[in-house]
Amino acid sequence: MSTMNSELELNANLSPKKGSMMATFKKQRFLFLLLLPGLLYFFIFKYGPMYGILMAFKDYQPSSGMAGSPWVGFKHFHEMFEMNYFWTVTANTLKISLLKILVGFPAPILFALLLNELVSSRFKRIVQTISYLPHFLSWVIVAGLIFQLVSPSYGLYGLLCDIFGWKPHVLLGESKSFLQILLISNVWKEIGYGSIIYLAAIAGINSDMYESATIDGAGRFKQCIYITLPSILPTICMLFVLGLGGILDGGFDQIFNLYNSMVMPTADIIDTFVYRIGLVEMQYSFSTAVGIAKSVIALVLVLVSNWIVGKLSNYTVF
Amino acid sequence: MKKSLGARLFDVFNITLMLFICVTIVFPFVQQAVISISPPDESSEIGLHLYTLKPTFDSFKQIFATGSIWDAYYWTILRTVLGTILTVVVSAMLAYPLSKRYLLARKVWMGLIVFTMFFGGGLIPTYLLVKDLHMLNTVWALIIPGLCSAYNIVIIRNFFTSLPIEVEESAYMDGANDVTVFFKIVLPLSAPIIATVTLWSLVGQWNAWFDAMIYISNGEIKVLQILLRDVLNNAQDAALANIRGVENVDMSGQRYTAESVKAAILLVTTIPIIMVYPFLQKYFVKGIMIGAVKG
Repeated sequence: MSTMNSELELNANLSPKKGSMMATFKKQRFLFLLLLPGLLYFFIFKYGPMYGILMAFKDYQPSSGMAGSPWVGFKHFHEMFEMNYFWTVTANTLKISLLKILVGFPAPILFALLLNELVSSRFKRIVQTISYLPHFLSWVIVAGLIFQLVSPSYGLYGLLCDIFGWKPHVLLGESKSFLQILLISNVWKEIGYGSIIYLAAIAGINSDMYESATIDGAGRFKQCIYITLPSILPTICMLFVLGLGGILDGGFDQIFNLYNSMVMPTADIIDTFVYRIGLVEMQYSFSTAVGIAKSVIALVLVLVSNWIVGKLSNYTVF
Repeated sequence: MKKSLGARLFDVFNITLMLFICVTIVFPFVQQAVISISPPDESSEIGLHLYTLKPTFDSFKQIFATGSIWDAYYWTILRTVLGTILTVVVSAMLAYPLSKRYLLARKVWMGLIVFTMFFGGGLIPTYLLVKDLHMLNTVWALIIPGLCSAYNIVIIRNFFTSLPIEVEESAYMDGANDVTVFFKIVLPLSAPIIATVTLWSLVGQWNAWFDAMIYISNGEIKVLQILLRDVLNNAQDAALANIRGVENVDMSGQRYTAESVKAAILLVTTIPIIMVYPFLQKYFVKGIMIGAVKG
């Protein structure tokens, strides 16, 4: 197959070795025509904002523009590191993300394993279809559902308080219960969709292994531990590393739609902080500096976690 | 083969758990639906709201009587359709040349694209760029800045790479150029990946709210998600203000209607997605697998 491909390429006379770069470009001009809009997009909208990073080292004034604003070096970074609230926000972000990984990462794996054990394939399909649904809704909608459920004055929680005689609390207004709602709603929304990839991996396992395990006397539990789990381990590792990359994300959409001033001390994360100081308070330079700090730390975390997972399992994403 | 007691107990436990998960997912929607058609005095009561004996469509009449919901539908549909078409066409056009090994400086283009997965300018520089391009308060701000993602490009490119090259080759023999081959031969052959990316983009556009919130400040373009957010937040603010003991926010009587109206707005935002979702589901599953296996 590969020799055939290279032959065809030679036939098409498109091999770069056959002429100067200009000649090749001319031959491939139609390919570049296709490439043009997309590349322009990437240069303008992905690399363009990277130029804007400079404003973190300037005192950006909208009236004088990027070029006209004075350089201030690392002033905003110093300010940021000396600011207590920055560390609060970073700690919140880490805490929320780590808890989310702790609870939210194993949930779809467990769900996929349990789904796989369902005997009736029809029931399995129905459960799958229902469980994917919340993934397709925005956090705005899900927040609306949550407001209703946890309201002490009319929701499900209100009913439970009524029945059991609990003292009604404003669950979204208290740090501890707010955090619990974040974690539960995150699992609720993503458990089904997150399981798809594991189900695909499970479907790809050679069924001979299960047959020989059955002959050797292994039950369903042992088959799961000794065959299914090891077989999907590479998938688990890959998703774990990718998940760690977002460790400083914390879930902007979710938190932004659920939080309020009463839980700010625990719920405010780097992203919501950047939004508020940047777009609401218009401290463009400072907010950009915070954003950069986040990107850099996140990049380091991906590389480190990739390295650790590589050491542990001989499997790396990069 | 006869099952052991343990295995049967496990099956019972497993099925019960799965049923429980399904109920927790379906319940909130059923509840919203019932609240939206309940009369005000019922919708504000504590309870499960799983049925109503006096169904009324007043809340729907009320929200559809104002023009804002129609406007919101218009802008949401416009951004969804335009955004999806542009995203798919531009992404596929970009991915096709990148699937050719002989493309001049292919690694450079690919590297530039993949790099954006790991690093970006951030919120403020992007906002200022959109502002400098005079796209604020136009529908383009909702479509253009999020047009392509590196992830999409990578999975589309991988799909193109797996297509048999012979078909394209015979078209070249017949004198077609790359553009013709792409639109007439490659695209029609790529239905699975095109469907996948189309659906991802469709749902993404429908659900998007943050771009509308930051780029649209004059309120002229209001998409459904923002409308819903406004309604929910007003209600939420009122509820919190009540708790803090602020005077004069007692909305007794008023709030009752708000509850079913809130539910109605939530449903009109959700229903289009719920309606198409069962049909889209299998494409999504296929898509996530294409992305997983080769991405």
